[in-house]
Amino acid sequence: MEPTTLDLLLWARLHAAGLPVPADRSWLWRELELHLTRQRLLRAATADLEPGDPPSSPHGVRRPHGVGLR
Amino acid sequence: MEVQAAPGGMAAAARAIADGEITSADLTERSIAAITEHDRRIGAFVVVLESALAEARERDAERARGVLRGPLHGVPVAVKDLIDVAGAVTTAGSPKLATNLARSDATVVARLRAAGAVILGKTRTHEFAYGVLTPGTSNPWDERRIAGGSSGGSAAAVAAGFVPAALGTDTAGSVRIPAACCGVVGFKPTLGRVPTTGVWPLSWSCDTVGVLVRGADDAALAFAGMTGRPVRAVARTGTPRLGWLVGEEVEQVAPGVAAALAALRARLDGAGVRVDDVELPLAAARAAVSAMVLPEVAAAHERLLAETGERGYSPAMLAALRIGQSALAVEYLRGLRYRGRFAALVDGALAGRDALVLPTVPVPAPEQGRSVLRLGDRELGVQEALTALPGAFNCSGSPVVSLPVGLSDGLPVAASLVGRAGEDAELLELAMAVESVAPRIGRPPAGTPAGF
Repeated sequence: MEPTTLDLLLWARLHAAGLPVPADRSWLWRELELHLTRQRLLRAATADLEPGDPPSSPHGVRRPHGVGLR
Repeated sequence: MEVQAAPGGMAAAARAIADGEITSADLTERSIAAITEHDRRIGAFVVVLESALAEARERDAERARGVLRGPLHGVPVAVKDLIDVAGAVTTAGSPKLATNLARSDATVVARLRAAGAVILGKTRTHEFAYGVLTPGTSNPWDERRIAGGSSGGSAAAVAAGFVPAALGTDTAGSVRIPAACCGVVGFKPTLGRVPTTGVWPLSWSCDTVGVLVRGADDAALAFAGMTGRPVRAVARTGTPRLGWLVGEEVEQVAPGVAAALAALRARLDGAGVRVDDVELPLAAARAAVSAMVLPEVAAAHERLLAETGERGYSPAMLAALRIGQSALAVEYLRGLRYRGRFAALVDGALAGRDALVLPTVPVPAPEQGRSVLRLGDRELGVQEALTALPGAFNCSGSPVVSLPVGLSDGLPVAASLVGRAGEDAELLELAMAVESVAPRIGRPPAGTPAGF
């Protein structure tokens, strides 16, 4: 059977992280598909953040202050 | 054995002990008797601690000397088996930690003891708190249905009347989801208000220790114990104003959930509460939580996985670890950057309002064994469906309280109130007011006569 895009993406990610590709990949496909769907949403939701808008840390939530491009 | 009814709720139990109407040992014995008799069906507890009765007798002896440790003096409390209790094993719901004996109490447990609570036992959790099913625990309202998770044992223990309060943890809804499924109150404090020291981590950025209780007043009492501060009376002035969340995510709910929420809104309107519509990008916020959780859980498990291998992890947990290990740094940072934006949006939605309201979960407790749910035209995994709404507020770190507000085909339906970060006491005060307007759902048919 031909590998799907998801197969290749999964292989590439696991390979880059030095992880084995298990024989039963059904759970991994499901988790990766959900992860990629959520990342698409998040990419769109963060597309207009300013370069100066910082990430939060586990110690607290940092509101964006919009320093950077105008 | 005949199990006698105990005073209902945590505040009532604490008052009865303080007034000498009942002893802590009596209450603890009743709890243990109820668990022994009924928990074979429910599966809320993984262990009842042998030390509990001795601890209760110590509280009674202290009271006899005129010493009351704090607001929870003598009240039995259960602890999710993700949180360390000195001398007990913390399995986190995994066979991999079957011998993980805790040498000391988690900070929150130590605080509860300092407030006088008796630590009765440990409640079942979904594996490493990553999941909403809590296998092994049944819903006291209908044993064919899940209790929710990951704090499913804690919710079932309170719903069944075994204990008046149980600690849980909440990373993407894990206190509020089982609270909604089991018809009890679930409170997730503001991120960082309760220390997570001694709690097995799922996500450093999102983990929050919360509590499951019978009423909002009990949540305020428990919160006082968990923070080591007295219950703060909040003087409410004027008519409350609530923002009612609308939009695609909150409208794709089961008809029974929509009907219960509509009935609540009508009751609030009738009580003179000002309610208007607001929108928030909940799906993006939930996505940000996932972006933070997956790499963090992978990092938290790196040593355990390296030292003990894959054996003992479920396929779902292992998949989360592998996808988390292979997540890109930029994907993680997107989550961390979006949380500030979402927190600002929540602040904006709360401007001029006391809280935001939304369904806690889109469906009543699903049947055990079900893997997917249909919501509108979408088919979703059970975990994805149940975390979709509550998970968003782990992004902002907001305090949230979930209240039972109705029944749908005999199963509880819940609404969540979202407050301003840091204003936990204000939110709980408002929750008491909303609770007084909402219909009472009563006790589950499988409830035990222990009666908390």
